[in-house]
Amino acid sequence: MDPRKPPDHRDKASAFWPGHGRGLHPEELAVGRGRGLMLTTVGPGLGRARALLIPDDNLQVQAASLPSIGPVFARGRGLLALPDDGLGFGRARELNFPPTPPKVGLSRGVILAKQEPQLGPTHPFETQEVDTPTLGQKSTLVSMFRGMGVEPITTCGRGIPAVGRKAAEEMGIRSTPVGLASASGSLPGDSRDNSSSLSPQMMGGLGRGQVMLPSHVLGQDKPQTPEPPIVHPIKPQSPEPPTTQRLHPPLAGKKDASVLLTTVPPKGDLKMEALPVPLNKAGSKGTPISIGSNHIAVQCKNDAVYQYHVTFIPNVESMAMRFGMLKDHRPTTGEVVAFDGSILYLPVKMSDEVVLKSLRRTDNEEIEIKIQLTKILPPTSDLCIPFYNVVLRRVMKILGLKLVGRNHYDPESAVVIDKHRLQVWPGYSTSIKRTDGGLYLSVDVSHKVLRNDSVLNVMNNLYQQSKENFQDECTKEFVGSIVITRYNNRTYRIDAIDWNKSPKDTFTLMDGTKTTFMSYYSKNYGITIKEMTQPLLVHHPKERSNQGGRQIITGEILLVPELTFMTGIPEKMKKDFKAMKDLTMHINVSCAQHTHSIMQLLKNIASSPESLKELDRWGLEMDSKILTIEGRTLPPETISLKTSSFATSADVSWSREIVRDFSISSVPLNMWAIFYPRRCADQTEELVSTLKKVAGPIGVQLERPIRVELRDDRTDTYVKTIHGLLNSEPNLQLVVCIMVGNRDDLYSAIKKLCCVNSPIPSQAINVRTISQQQKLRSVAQKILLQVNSKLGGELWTVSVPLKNLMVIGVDVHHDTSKKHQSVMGYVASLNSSLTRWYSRVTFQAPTEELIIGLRVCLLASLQKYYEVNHSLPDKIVVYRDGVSDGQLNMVEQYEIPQLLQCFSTFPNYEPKLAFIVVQKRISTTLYSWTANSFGIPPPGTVLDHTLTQRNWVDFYLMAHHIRQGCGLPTRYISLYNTANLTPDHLQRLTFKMCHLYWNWSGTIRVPAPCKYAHKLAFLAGQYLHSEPAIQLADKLFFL
Amino acid sequence: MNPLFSPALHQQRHQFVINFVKMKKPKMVADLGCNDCKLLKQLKFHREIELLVGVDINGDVIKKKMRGLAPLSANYLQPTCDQLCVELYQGSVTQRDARLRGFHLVTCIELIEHLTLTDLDHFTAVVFGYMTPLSVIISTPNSEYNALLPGLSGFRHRDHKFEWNRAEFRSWALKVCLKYSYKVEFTGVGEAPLGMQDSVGFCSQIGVFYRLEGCTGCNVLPFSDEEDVSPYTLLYSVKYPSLRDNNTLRRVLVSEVLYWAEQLKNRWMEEKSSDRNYNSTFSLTEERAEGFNPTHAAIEGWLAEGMDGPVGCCGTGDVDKCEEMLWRNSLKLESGTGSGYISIPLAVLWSCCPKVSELGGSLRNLRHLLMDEPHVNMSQDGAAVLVKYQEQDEEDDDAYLEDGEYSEASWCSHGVEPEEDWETV
Repeated sequence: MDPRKPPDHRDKASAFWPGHGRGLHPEELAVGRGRGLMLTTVGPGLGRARALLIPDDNLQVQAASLPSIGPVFARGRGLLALPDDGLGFGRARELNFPPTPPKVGLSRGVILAKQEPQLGPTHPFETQEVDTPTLGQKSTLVSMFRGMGVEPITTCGRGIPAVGRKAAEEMGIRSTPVGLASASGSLPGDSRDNSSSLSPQMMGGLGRGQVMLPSHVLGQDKPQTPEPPIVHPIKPQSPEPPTTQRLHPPLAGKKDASVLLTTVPPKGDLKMEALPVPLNKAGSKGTPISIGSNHIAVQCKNDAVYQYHVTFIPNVESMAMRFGMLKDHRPTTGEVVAFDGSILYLPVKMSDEVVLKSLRRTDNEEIEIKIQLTKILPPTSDLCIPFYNVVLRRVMKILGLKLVGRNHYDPESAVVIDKHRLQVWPGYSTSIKRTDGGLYLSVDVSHKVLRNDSVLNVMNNLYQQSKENFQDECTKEFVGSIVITRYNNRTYRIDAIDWNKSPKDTFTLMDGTKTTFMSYYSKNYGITIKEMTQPLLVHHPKERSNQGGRQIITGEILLVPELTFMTGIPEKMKKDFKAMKDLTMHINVSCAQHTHSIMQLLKNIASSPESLKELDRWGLEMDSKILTIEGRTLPPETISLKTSSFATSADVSWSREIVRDFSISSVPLNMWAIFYPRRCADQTEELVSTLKKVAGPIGVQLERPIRVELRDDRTDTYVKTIHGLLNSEPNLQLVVCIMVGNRDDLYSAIKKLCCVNSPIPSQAINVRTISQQQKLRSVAQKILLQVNSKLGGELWTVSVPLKNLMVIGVDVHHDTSKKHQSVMGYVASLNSSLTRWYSRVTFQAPTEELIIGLRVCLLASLQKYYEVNHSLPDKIVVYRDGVSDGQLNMVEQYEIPQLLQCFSTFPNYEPKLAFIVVQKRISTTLYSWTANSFGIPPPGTVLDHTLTQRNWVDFYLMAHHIRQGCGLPTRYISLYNTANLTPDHLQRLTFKMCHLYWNWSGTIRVPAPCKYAHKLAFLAGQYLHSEPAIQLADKLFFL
Repeated sequence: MNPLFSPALHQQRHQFVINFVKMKKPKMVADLGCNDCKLLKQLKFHREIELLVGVDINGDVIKKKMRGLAPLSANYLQPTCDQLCVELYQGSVTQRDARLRGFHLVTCIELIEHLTLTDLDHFTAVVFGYMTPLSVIISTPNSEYNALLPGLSGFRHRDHKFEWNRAEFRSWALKVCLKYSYKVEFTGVGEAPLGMQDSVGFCSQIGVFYRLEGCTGCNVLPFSDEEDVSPYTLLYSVKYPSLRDNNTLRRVLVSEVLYWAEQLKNRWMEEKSSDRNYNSTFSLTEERAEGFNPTHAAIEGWLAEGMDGPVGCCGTGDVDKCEEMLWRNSLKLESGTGSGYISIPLAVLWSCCPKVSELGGSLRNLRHLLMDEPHVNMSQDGAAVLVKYQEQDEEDDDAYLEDGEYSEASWCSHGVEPEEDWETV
């Protein structure tokens, strides 16, 4: 959208937004909260708002008698409208809206606006704002964090805690009976200060805040005061916008629009920002259980954190100079400051406006520094979390821990794994976060694996092993891995190897002089490079701006192999089961060790006066013990086979039961073939006869296979022979291959043949697994169950009391070497017992987690569902794996609308949808807490309070049984829920879904559809590199 | 604004010190007025320095950056033989502190001009009279150059108490030399534009002082008795991991020994399985006629003689061949001990792995270092490392194929739990 578009037009556009199907209707008001979808073609980016309707005080009663809508307590949520002109920092990348489909905004709010004229008083102001091209306030914030040593990691706005959505002060709208609330629905931007100036639309959002003015005029007094923006004219700081005004909205409590234009707030008007009403996310099913978690409560002694706006008159452009000038005034501001160049945070209150003077050293001009109090934040505000984390980093440093990547490690306590020339450094991954329970220090025990050898050493070893394919081998070994340098503690990801360069080559320094790598390292670090003929490693840094957002760092960074060490577990070792066992022994610590390490850290902090002093700067105080709270254990589920059913035992495993009774349904295997190299003939024969023996009890009808002995075990031989048989036996149901050793190339070739070119279910078996007599029976049973699943048989199920339900699992596989495209795996249930699945994959650009092809997949699966059931599902539950916190908004605003849009393809079709994000890689650990000691929590343990995030309905569930190590729960976040699933339902449905993965007769960490989607995406991304044949789509061929 | 100097003047001053360090290789270096430790941070890469000390009157400014002096990850990954200890003190250069005595080099970069003339006298007495380092580098602004600095009136910095011209600096320096038996060389960094070099001099003038040989203490005040004066506050102290530290050495050595022992074992086993003959006899310690064949007795012999290892015994012969024979012939299966160990004589490890011999120093020392190491399994006589010998038994497959004791799941009929219907909620 053109930032300079006349504001009136925009307003109209928003006012005309069609009332959407699922908006809140007046009668729904009492429900409390609704989210709706809005389809629209107006404007390239539309807003979304979430409205929380709370029937509350008597005011509401009055209002309820009015014809239109009752008082609405609305919360606007950030929109992802991305400006076409790309002014938005950071986010713009993700906004690849395809040009054709209408842009869809998602609204969770009420939009019933009629009375535009009533917006009158605010118009002049809005004009001003909309004319204002964006100056990325976000970018300056980012630079502030950088300045403080915090590397913003996420690319979308939400990632940085402080930039994240701040529900608190957002748009506390209480509409007057006149229906002014309308405007809130069209809020295109997140109206919060500091993070929002991403696009002109955002500015509009700020302006829209004015809509609430009338309600103020009415004299309502409430904690969430809509804050009218104040505009400070500031000279442009970045080249992009020709005229830039820094918006500074958050002055609270204006009663008159005219006041807005003044910059000085009336005294005494600033109030502490209030916390929002917590979401209802607590369930009650199950038995209460005392649990602990790797969190430590953090108290904040300060009453508040004060946010000031700093203006330099005349303007000072250089950020460094701004920092310097403010630093000169430490006697006024105190020693504890967080400053980004224009916004200043202090733990102390100065008077509302402070004017200081500094001399500009370059020209001796006197600069006036005006510091105005703009906000009083509660000390737990999201905006403060970044400083707290800076403090925490300092503390970790004071304790003598080394920063490697993002975590801190203790090399003094390194464990050396001699056989593999590895070192394992114990350490911590720590952060301060704010959850529903308040401020917590989250401590995860982390281990860093480092290699004793430099990259050059490893290269030399590789050269010894294979001289011909040396370069290829190197690429395989190094590209994608992370190295740490000898001369500083920085880590880099290797993206390529430049064989044409050597340390004798030159590069250009910052000041423009040229120097060779050799002399650079010798001069700066006293390091003499010994090997002159080594190639150089290439790292492509992510495009990011340095301090002040001025210079964009691009290009490539070249590293000398001799001066870098590999980190992480070597690929070769990952396949070595024994070696991994050696390693995991050190890495997978028990709950007792885990909590012991955490307590050790707490003790170290407590006994270091310097650390305590550092924490005290922002008034932080850490509890001395690990958090213990009450969780619940969900009731055990009942597993149903064909005729029998049974309740799960304490270890949620039913491998015994499923081989005793018939599976729900089995596909008779009349025509199948087994391929094996000659030397595996005996094992193959054994296997076939054992399979026959175990088939009966499971209910599988199994004929003797066509046995094909291969003359050698070359890949080519396998492929040609299988292909030949497939041509001559068109009715073949299954291909089984016996292979010797772990052979990726062979596996890949067989799977390509059987999944893509000549679609047929296939099973590859490593001869080692069938070589042990005493285990053969149980192995054969498992193979048979797996084969039955692949053919379309059904093994077991649990009862889900929801009718006409479709459960969908989605996951994305990324290729670590970035050579191949990323693959989305998609799996959807087709029947009521959730035993038939439809699967698809789509390919997309590397590293992109967000899914473009979701629509195609959903449509295909709905059609298939219709074919099977002659009706479409009423309820759809999506489990979406692999979304980080920073991407939640993108998923909500991009993927969910994609799904919703699909429904309109079918006439009169409006199913209920629940969209649940599944996060496996989280730092939260749960322990059981009994008899004053920490242990492993039982499967089914759920936690839905205290550690949950304030902005979402979320919970932690540990579905699987843990034999060793710690309780790692999975986090589930309900992003969208029109299916009326209560927290109890969400939790139990999820737990039930964790029972349905047929490759494992027990519960798993994630819902089965997610695991299926993961398996599928992995197969397609790692081995097939193309879409599997559509004929296999209704079978679990990828198991 | 165009920079007057390229590289910047402060960098040039630091580079001057670094060049000096590279040339003279002092082992103990102290930087007085170290400020935010920038110079120290560069100096720590020059590993000929074994003790690096920074002193500043302002403790806060030290504290801010001092952790940047901590060892890097790589220092732990591959410790070297070099030793380095970094210590930072808060203290005044006008006070004596015994811990600063006897250094090889003391640097005072842009320090003296911040002292009043009285303090300067104290400083001179402390540095030259008490600390008595072998060499001192003092840099200070040259006021003659000030005319060339644009927009400058008065001193270059608010806190400067004086700025000397070349003659003033020279006369002070020579007085110091005379009193405390030093000699001085004058130089500087920051050259004036062409043609003005002689008339103006360097922007920063530098005096490099050397203590005169044999004159130690001639004019030194008799402080030596009150050794314990230590008014400076230690703010930070860190020791870099070094192979000269026995624990570090042992750790690295053990890791190398075990790795190579494992490698040798694997090579031997491969050979064993490829060579049937070899395999069938199994007695690898059998005397073989050809070549060099160290028996345990022979190794004992070397150990007793304290010789540096078997490679030496081979004389100038074909070392590779010698090694080859050595490892091939002397590995043996320790069948007697029951569970099957392969014994790898230390001498073999010694000769095969340069790193091990490098670290061990001598074979005797190697044995000594390994003997009481719990991770290393040594033979009774300490002449060989025992490595577990396992047939290729692979089991415990991936999780899916796990088997174990399962508690019986309770069998029950349908509907133990009342049927639920979530739809109605």
